[in-house]
Amino acid sequence: MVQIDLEHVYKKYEKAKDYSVTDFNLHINDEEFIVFVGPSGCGKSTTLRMIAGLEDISKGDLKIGGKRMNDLPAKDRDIAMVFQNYALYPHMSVYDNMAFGLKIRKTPKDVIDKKIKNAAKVLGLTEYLKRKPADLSGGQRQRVALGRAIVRDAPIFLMDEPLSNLDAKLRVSMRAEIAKIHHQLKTTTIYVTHDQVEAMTLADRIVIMKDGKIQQVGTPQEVYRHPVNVFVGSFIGSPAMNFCRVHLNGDHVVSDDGSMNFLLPEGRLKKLRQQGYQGKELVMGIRPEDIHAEQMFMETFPEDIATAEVTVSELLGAETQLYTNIGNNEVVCKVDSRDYVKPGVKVKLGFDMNKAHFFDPATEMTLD
Amino acid sequence: MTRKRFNLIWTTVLITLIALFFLFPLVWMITSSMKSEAEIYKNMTSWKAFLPSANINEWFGAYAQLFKRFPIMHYILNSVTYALCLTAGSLVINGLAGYGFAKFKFTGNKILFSILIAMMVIPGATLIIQQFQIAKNMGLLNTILAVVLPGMASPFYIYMFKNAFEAIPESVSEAAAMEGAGSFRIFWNILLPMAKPTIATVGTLAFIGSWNDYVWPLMVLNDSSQFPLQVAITNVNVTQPVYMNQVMAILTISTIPLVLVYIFAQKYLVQGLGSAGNGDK
Repeated sequence: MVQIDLEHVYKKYEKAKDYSVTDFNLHINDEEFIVFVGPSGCGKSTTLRMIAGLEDISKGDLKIGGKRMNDLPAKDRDIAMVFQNYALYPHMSVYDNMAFGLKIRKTPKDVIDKKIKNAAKVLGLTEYLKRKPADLSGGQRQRVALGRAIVRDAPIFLMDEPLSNLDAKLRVSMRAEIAKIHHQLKTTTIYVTHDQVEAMTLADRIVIMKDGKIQQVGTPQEVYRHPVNVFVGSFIGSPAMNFCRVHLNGDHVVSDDGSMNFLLPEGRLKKLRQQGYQGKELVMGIRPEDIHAEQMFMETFPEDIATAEVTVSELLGAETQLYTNIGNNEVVCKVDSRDYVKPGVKVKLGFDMNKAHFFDPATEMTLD
Repeated sequence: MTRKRFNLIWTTVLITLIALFFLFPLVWMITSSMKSEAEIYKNMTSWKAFLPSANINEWFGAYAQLFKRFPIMHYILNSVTYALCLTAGSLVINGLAGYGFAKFKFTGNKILFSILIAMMVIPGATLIIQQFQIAKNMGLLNTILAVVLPGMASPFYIYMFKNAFEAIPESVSEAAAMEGAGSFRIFWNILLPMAKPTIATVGTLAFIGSWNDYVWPLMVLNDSSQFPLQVAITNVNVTQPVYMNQVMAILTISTIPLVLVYIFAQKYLVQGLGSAGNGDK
């Protein structure tokens, strides 16, 4: 059983003015798949490297299985790590690459052999065991790196953007492979990525970071459906959530230029009024898929319609992405492919105000 | 004739001339060792100076005489022993120092390395008296250690190893550390094998340096049975009667290993020295 606890962890690099990681608190359960996600420079890799022991912790405690690990060197932490650039040993064969860690631990030869052959089978590397990393493709190399972690039977896996160097197609298949491996081994895994799709598809819980601080921790559904602030709303989801400034006038929210004027459902209105936002400015966020072009929707919600001018339309097969201007606001919506229209055309779009999000304009925190 | 063709011809001619210029003493040395004493002086002013004796039986006469008069095999063995020890020591010591500078952050790292680089401008000859004093105080005179130890550490080789190790991505040594490898194992099992071109370059240079060294072994060794080949050449050159063909023979013998080293390690010599500045391999 391995639980990881980060308690008030700070990281400040030598000569740096600001903290790279600020007051990081997280409890990671056994067998959990945690994904750290955020834009570059948000401190996600730094945090991972602190857990690995590759960076010192400036302040705070790191506990693994209840034991404080701050001062234990990386080599004694018994953690397996997969790096973005694979970090294979180029002078060793695939077999020796995987055997290296086991040899250090003085594992008997027959056990090493069995473990490597098993891992190679799982990863489809059996026929490449004698090759050197230079003779492998990017995907195969990353599989060797995964294999090197698997054979160790380490209680914790750390993965630092392991798929970033692969092409799009390979990334999707490796993503599934990682999910499969985690399902089989149930090793506690911390995975760092800047790709929110990877985060959404792999994670049990996502940790969204920005400027060294945790913004939100939650299951993929939670962070997608209930973003705590504007940043999380904009970061998770593709295409990103649409934002615009509105005022709460009576029972309607109205954009500054009047181009959007939507009736709010009872419950939402009540909540906003209770918080004292009547007549005040709000940030409204709405996901592209919560904007509709079907006639049905508009007939049901006749007071939640705006007229939009399409600037770009992308037919993606099952659906169409429309990039539109509504007054001064740019709004992206995801509609059915049957509702495809050419750029330049004006269309009516219905906004599902039950699914809209409202944020305080000053703090950018959610009001839901 | 196009300009490109003209350039090709005249660079070829120039390079050939330069090559001949460097080759002719070598050829003269070898051919002179393959003829009788009288023939050397007789042919001195003619083109025949560059041909071995017309009589094939005389070709190795000087060599046979030389081996009879002096313990040449013994000298060769000494030279090989000194060169191998120095090369091995040089690889380990400079490799470790380069590893330290490249992969460890410690206070004074940069200053220490600057001092080391600055030391490269000090001519070796100015240090030789102090080095001798140190060797004497340590009681090393007349031992193999006196010949081998002072030449092992070299700022230039450390610099080369540092560059080589810095060119290896940090993540490789980090991956090894995560797998439980300590600093020395990372150096020995991971980084050193990855720096093979640098090992070849430093190894070759150290070997050549030791093989060619004359003054230092002459200073620290008194017993002629410990002399390396270079010092023994002086012996051959001053032990009466002096035969020019025998002197040429021992010179030829002393050159053979260097020629072999250059033939086999030329790639690494050029590669290693050429990339000393940027760490590209």
